[in-house]
Amino acid sequence: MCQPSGTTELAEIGNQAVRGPDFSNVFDEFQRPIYNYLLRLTQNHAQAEDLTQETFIRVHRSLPTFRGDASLTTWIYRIATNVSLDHFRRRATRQAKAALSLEETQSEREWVVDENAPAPEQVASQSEMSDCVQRFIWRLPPSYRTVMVLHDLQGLKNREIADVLDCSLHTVKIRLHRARKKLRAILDAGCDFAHDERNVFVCEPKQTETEEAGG
Amino acid sequence: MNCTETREIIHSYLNDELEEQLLAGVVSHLAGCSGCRRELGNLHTSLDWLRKTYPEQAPPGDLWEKIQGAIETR
Ligand SMILES: [Zn+2]
Repeated sequence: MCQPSGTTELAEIGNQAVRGPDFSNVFDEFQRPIYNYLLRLTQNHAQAEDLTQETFIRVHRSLPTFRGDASLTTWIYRIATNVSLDHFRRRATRQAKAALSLEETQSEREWVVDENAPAPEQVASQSEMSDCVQRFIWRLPPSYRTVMVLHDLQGLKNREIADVLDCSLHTVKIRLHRARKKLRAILDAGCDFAHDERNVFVCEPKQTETEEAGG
Repeated sequence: MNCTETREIIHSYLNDELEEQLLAGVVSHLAGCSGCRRELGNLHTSLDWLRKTYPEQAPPGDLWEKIQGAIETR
């Protein structure tokens, strides 16, 4: 799509050492992970697409100043994370809610269902998952959510996540540990997840009393 | 190494992030402790569930054109 032809490709590589990374190469390498990162955070295809565009527009703008102090991966994930935080803040403000943040203080509170969570029908058509399954990631505090998505879904190392979020390695480890604990607790106590006859993930509450209907 | 110590670092073990000495300690504890093996199995199961629930998806095909368009008009 945006791959240069064979000869220009060689020229690009030759210039890369002087000019820094080429934008089209960076886009080719990172469009998929960044789109999936933002999709996993927002659970909404349209929003993920918008935020991916915004991320790469910022990448394009800042690429000439990229000095290689951070790895390209952590640098781009940091931009994408900031774009997502801006998005959630804007939305929270719009809804006159307390601003969401990555701050430790907020994240240490007990986990609550995020009222900003997207309506299930927004994503249901593609993923065909039940409401309960889809909302799992939204039941985590934002900072836990980000760390878990980065580590367990995007495959970043703890050290890289600390760089992306500008926090200590220790903090990353704690958040990841707690996020996984909560995942385990949800799987144990909340629901049985299984594939139904159409091979679609379904949620079957273990108890007759389901959660209080939210929102 | 006992169960408490093992479970404190079992996540690092799963992440392949343990130094050699700790790794050896965990491995030898797991060999003799079914409770910690079960805990590790649970962890595997939930991560497996997470990855199946949020699978990787292809980005939209016209992303590059849209970004180029946006860059040119800014
Ligand atoms: Zn044990």
